[in-house]
Amino acid sequence: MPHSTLMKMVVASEREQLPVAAARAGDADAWAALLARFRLPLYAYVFELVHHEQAALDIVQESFINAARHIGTLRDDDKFASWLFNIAHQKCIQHWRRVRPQEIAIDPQDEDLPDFEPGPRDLLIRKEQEAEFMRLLDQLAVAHRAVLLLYFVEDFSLEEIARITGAQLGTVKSRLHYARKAFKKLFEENES
Amino acid sequence: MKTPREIILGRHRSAETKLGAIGPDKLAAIARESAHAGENFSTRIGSVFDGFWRECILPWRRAWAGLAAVWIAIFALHLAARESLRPTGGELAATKNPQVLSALREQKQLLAQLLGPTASAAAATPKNSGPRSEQRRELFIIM
Repeated sequence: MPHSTLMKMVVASEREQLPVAAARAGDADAWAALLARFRLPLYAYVFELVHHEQAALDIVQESFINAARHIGTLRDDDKFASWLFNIAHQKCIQHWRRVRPQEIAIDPQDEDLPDFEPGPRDLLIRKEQEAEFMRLLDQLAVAHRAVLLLYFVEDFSLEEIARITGAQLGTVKSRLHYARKAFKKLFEENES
Repeated sequence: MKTPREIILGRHRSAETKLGAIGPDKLAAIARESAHAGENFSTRIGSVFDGFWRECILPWRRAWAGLAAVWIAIFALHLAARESLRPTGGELAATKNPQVLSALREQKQLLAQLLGPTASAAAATPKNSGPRSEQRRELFIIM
């Protein structure tokens, strides 16, 4: 591989090292790196919300196209991930409006709740519990599922999740709390 | 043991081939195009202003300068006229003087006394009370 090509290669393993500036300038390698980094997590997030393969594929594609079109308006490059997920989230809402409008407004009461203590990487699930974990995830209300997916898949902070979903910080906390309660039993079994 | 992330992503690994349809070249082209469009917009505004300056202002710069001078003179005159209409400091002090105020009040009372009967008489006199030749006329001479 020539030296110049090697130099041009962009590594997008860490969120801080995302080649957003190069992508803004229209660099294909930068876009390849961003696609490699976010394509699957974004698809997983969207699919788990809409539960429709073709719709999820379309939403992911449209989200990336929208991101490419409007990347010039993104002021803080560090927020690319949450910005991209926000685009996808908005597209999911549009999809629900068309398909299942009754699923949009699910908002439990805001409460003063403690932070979600264990990090998403600290939770370990045994192989035999994986199916149960996914079943529990599917059973959650859409709003709770969205918060939990963003937390598990991308390790977004509460503020970032609030920005992506357009919810209040307290609401995000509340949703995480309820989702956590739903998983508590599974995790307790895991620990024992 | 797996993290929730690994489980969730693992469930969708099979979709990666389908997701490959989104090409980085296409996205890069879109980003370049929109960046170019943004630049074009700003340069278009710049060129419109530049054209206006070169075609409308520069050839007639003396006329524009003359017009501007006239407007400045008009504005200055307007300001000066406003200044002259304002009461001076001496005039303001005089109105606050109690002696001047009492003299003014006296003059006002005198004027009211002189004009008062005429006004009340005019109001009391009924209209069309008879032929004009028979109407009594009162004449006050103010010395």
